[in-house]
Amino acid sequence: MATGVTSIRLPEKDAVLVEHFVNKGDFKSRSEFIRYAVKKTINEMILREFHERLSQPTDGKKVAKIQEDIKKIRKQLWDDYARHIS
Amino acid sequence: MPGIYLDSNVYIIGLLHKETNAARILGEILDRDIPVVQSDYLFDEVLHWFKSHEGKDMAGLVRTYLLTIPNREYVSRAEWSLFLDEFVNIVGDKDDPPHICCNHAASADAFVTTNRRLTKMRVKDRVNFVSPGEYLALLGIKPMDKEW
Repeated sequence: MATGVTSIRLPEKDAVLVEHFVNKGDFKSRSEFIRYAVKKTINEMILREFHERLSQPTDGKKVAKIQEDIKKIRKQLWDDYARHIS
Repeated sequence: MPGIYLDSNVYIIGLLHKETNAARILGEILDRDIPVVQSDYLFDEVLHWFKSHEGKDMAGLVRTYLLTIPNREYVSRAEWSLFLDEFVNIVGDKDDPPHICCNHAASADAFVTTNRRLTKMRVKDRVNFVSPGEYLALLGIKPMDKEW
């Protein structure tokens, strides 16, 4: 797997904490810890961005409409899938 | 920690509407590192919805969101389709089985959905369907009054 190498400067106290979780066996290596932390932060930032940009009050009608739209998409995807395997 | 399958409606409602049980679940899977099962079928559905309702850029952001859920297990079409024959006759709607098969293939403990129709089908004996509110209650969180 191709990976980009990024050096980061961590305060000693944080480096010790990372080491603690690696030694405890929660992560295989410091790299794995950092990869996990980066992924989690990106996920959290996107969730926040969504809620800031798009969030709107909802009601049963809007939810029903979403479900109805999903149903149509689901049917279309299934038809494509069925065509693909037949 | 039990793994869960989130139906596409949970992602869509949860990303669009902050004050919902679905949105709280998206926060909890991150905070508690809950294992989440995903499939290509789920990606297609969610991204299709966002592309047609919110545009290509938002759909791209949603793709990144789905890919960065830290503790996710991906079930491919080659894997979930192994179970199609088993489920196709006990799921009322012919287009629902891929999700059920994916849930089954990954042995997920709960299938979280706002779709009550699914929970009434014969397949309910084989799948632990829960609403977003019910799932929050299982986590020990008091859900909002609304079902979604």
